[in-house]
Amino acid sequence: MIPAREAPLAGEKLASPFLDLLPISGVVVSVLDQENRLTRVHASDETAARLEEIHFDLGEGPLFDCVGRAIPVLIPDVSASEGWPIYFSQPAAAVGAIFIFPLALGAVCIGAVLCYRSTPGELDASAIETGVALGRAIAGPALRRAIVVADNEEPDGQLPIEVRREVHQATGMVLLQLDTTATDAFASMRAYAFSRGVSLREVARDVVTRRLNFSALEE
Amino acid sequence: MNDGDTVNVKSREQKINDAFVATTDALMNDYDIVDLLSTLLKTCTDILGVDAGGILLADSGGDLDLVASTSEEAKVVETIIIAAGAGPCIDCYSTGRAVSVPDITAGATRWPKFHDSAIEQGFRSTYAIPMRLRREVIGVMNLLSTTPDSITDNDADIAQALADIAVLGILHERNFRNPLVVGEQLHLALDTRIIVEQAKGVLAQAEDLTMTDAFNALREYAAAHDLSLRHTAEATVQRAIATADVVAALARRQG
Repeated sequence: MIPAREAPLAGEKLASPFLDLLPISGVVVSVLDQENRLTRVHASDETAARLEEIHFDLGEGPLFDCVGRAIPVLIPDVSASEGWPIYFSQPAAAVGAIFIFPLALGAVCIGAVLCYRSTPGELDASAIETGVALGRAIAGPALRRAIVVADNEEPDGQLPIEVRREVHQATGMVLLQLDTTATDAFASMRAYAFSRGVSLREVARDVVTRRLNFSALEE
Repeated sequence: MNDGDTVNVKSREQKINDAFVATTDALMNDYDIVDLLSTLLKTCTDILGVDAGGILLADSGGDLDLVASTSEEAKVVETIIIAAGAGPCIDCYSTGRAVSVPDITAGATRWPKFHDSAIEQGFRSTYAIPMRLRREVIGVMNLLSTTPDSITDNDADIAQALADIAVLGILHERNFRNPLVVGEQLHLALDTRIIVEQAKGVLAQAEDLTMTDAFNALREYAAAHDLSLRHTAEATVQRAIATADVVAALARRQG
């Protein structure tokens, strides 16, 4: 049993600030799991859930662009958008605008928050800033929540992942070892920990103490 | 910790004054919160004659995250982080009151993990000071000493004053009334710490540095190029600046 203080914030609590502070109709919070698949932490309604689900079905869509580049993806007018033709050809309730914000732990993107609005229209600069800040604020708790939802990864000891300095230091080391991005390096460490049945923290410690080098691992 | 010498007290007041001036200077200009807090913490440990310290801020889930520390060495950091999980720091945070542990060896049963880690690192006493914004506690400043000693009232006041200055540094005064901005600035500080750790890893791997040297290299490079620590760390992780150039900044300072 996790002590009360460590209890991951319920999904709804993570999503509600977006609905409170941004001019949007619905929101879905998704985190990549240890095998780089989307795990839904919370969807505020069916439409939001569907907009995320299409990504899961196709393995492509604007949410992946947001995660891959760790930047917001803004589609103020879906009907006029020329990007992601396959994504937008899928059956879903008609929406006016989609705004997607990265869940960022430093340079690592661990997932995204997809917001939609029934009517088209731009987000102003301060709303975009708010969305980015909220994504940063809930990234750690969202990751913890996703780990609990997945129920197949041990929550890591007493302290949450984002407080563990070695995890972030190891991410920086592994991104050079694999010549990749911080996001991919972090995903590789999680996948390695999962496949070996050890904690992410143990993997990170082995990397930082130079007992483990990802460039020396078999594919 | 305080020998009561008048000359010393005066020079301490001067140092506190300097810290306040440095903070207000930083607030007038473009500043980096992790860098500012690191400097303030160094001032505080110098003035009080303690051996190590850390500044922890609460994240949105109420967990304390280490944002600045006097040492980047994993073991010292670990002791402070344990104090944040089950130890004097989290008690200070949840009660909003300073927590003084004049003799850590006597506290084995209260916080066994903290006790073991602190003793292993040679620490014998600790003091945790709440960082307050009005009635809310936003974080904790933690000091660790290798000698068993209770903090004097005078030292406690100094520590609280510096913790208050740190709050000023985190939250620009004009933003105090906007809870949303307060939250954003807190999370930016926490996130800056994460990206600094990632950049330290990149430098440690590329240039075979210790984590302490990697941190110093980032700070020196940022100062030499008039960049924020966050910007320097981001550019390092994105490999927009060469690790050799960052490390050269460290070599210049040491050479």
